[in-house]
Amino acid sequence: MKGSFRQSMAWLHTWSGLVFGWVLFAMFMTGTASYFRPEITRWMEPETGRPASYAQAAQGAVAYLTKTAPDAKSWSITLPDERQATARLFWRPAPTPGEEAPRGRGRSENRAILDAATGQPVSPRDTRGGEFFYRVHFQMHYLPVLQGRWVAGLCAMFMLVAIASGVVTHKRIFKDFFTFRPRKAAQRSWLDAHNLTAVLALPFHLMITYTGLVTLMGLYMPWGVAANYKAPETYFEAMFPRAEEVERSGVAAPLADLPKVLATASAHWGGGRPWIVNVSNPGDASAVIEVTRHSGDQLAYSGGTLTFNGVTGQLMTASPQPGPAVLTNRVMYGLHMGRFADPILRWVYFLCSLAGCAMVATGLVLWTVKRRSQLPDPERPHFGFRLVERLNIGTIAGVPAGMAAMLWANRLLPVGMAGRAEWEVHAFFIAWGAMIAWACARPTRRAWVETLSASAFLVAALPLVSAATTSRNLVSHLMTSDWAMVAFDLTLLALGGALAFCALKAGAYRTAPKPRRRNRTEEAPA
Amino acid sequence: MILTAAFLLAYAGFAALCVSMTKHQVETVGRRLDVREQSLAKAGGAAGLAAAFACAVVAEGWRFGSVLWSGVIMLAALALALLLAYRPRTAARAAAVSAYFAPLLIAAWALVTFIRA
Repeated sequence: MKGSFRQSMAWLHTWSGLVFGWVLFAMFMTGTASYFRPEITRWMEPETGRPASYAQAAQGAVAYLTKTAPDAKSWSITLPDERQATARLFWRPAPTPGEEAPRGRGRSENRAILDAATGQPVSPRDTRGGEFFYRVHFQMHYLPVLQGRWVAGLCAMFMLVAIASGVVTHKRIFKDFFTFRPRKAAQRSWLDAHNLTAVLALPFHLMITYTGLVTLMGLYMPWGVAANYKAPETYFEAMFPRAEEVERSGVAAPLADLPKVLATASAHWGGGRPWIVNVSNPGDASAVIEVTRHSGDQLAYSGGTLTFNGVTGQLMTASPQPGPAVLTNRVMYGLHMGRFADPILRWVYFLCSLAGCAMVATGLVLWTVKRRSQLPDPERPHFGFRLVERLNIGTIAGVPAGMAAMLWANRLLPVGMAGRAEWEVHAFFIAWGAMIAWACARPTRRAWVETLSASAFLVAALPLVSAATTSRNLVSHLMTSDWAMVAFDLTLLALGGALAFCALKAGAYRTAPKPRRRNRTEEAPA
Repeated sequence: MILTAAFLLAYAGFAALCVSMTKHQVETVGRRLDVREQSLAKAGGAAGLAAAFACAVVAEGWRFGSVLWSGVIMLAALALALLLAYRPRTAARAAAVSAYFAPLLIAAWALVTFIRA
């Protein structure tokens, strides 16, 4: 780390990119998939039906809860939006006298999943669904949640470092704006590809990395809260106020018509969608209904809550408008999550995010391509080089393979199996690990071709696996015009095709002969 | 419809900016442009991107529209760069076709909106 500013930035870019690159690649891939979290969950729960209107789902939920838990302390209903096929309910039973009311989420017997359209309970197979990709994206797995978030934050911080140092390192951002020379020597074309995916989607990369850090800033930089609030709990109370708990009056009164309450809420928000409904003391004169707005209604990732009288259905209070700092935070959060996106914008997010995956992958490959020609003996590289090369192969082919393996496990593991959801997750890591082991056991070129082909097969065969094991298949989805699921299968085929294309290219790849003359001005650090 | 127009305008805009750069001129249009043509291409490119922004805002409003525009221009630039690498002539022709169809799409969209209103 010496020489000019640009050289030291190049050093920083190279090593921060390499050290965190493998985890970042997995974070980028799972994050990309998370833009389709509800669709992945639907695919992984083939027992569930089709999305339906929230009003319909609310009606079914109230009917179910009135029958199952009429005198509960409270009900919570997560309504489906147009991408989800189920309403998720849980309730807190009335505390027996003298017993402290249990806090937090209910136990499993106090939960139910209802079909959005019919309101009938459904019991999908035990799976984490798209939730796993979302969670692993920012809190890893096999680690305590907070530690995992620290790891993710560290990686994101170095991603930001890599972006900033990369911009300094790249001498000709505008001159080489459109430059991609796939037929030039390996190092040149890999560098072009890395620059292209980085520069052309730079606004996205910068936004997603920065806002990603902002989503967890309370964890990484707690001092602002610590300096202003005596205890963290007071801060959370102030940020997310909860309605005062009211005792049951003992006077029975029917619950207000929920769909009508939701319609009032929606009108109050100028057509916004209700998302989470909390009913305390249902069936009692003291009933209160809280309606929280869908977090994807606005750029800001938080819609506010309205409180209604649970008997008359009258609007009582609305949560106050957030101040500028909170609003800024929530807009950044919203930009990261992209939940506000309509289908077109969601695909734009997805494709930009794929460009991010390609940027990380090409950067990792570039590290080895650039160094191979400088090795004393390219046939017998030293241990560090071999390690990087194997991890590159095992991760770039292994993460997509692992994600596919999880979907395979979802279809192939017995439905009644104990610990099923955990084994689906294990399948992700087993497949990734197996790819790394495979990469270590084979010569470089064979390793690339074989792992990429295996990965392509695992991804592209999923529509067939699904068709063979469940009622989810392309033909029936086409017949019922279930376009989200049609798109799901087609996307798997396309991604499998892209991986197969990479495998073909890797097969046709010839290591470039040692360049005769090294052109110093062309030399850009990798 | 109008979002397709936004993408086409962004593509054509970037293509014009690309043609204004000396290094891409021969491969795309087959000759060097003179100074006046270059600055014309540059202005046209900027106008294309601006028009794409207008389309995105008209379609989705200021907030979502500006996010959408950022995404659309990134994808348009990536599409152009890939096409340029393998089929530079096609990339240039596609830009001309885009620039031709984008106003037609906008006109059709305006007509449909006008009839519905």
